[in-house]
Amino acid sequence: MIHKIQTLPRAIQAIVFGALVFGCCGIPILGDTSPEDDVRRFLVGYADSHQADVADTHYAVGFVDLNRDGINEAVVYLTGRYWCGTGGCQTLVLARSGRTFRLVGRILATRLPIRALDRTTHGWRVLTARVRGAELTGSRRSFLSMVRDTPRPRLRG
Amino acid sequence: MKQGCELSVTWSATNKDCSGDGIFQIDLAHNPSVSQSDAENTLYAAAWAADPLRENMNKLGQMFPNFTPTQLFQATAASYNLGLGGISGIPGTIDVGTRPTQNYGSNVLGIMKCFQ
Repeated sequence: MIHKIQTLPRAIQAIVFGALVFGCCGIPILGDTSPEDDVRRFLVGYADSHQADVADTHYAVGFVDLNRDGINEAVVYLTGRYWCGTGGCQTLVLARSGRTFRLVGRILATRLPIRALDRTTHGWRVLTARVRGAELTGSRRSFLSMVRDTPRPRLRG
Repeated sequence: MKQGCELSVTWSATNKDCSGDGIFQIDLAHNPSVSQSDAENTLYAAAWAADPLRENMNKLGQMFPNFTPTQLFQATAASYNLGLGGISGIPGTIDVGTRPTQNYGSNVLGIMKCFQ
């Protein structure tokens, strides 16, 4: 499923984002929310910091433990004009950081499906995604190995 | 076309390994107003691609005012492949991440020289 990040006006987004991150009336909220909600909040801030059109930013997310620490990372496939070109779209790898997520990896111009292999590099499972392979001939497609790739469950497209 | 320039087209309008159709690789699934025959019509496709390229160039010029004109051209071409969000603003790494061979922008610049 592809999600739409936000359709609220930007000013309201900022208020909602701030309230969710910092809590309202001294009551922390983030710990009570789902990983999906936390990813969404991260992405609103991420898109905003890139001056991307938040309303035109969509994403699919999958969760998997990539570094075998018992905590799932989030693999996010961003779509929308700002994030995609003819080569594909951006994939982000996010790790838990307290009550939110932080960016630990970004892979440009990827296409679904994205898979996490059992093989590891520097302690992180290797991710694969489909990419354009001009080195290949005809209609063959290559799979590019990427450190910190995605969950075994495919990101939903 | 200028003689002596290096024009190396590694894919064709019918190469379905590309993400879209035609030499400008228009993604028909996301652009339903464009037909396959339109996408494979070079003049139509060039005119169609000019709009996002112009927009990208304007935005990149604002985002990275220190780019030289050549770097801005290269980044604009690369953004067609990566999306605007894939352009770092570092002149030496403009093409990093571009598919298929990490030189999309500079390759386009090289091809442009053939037509100048």
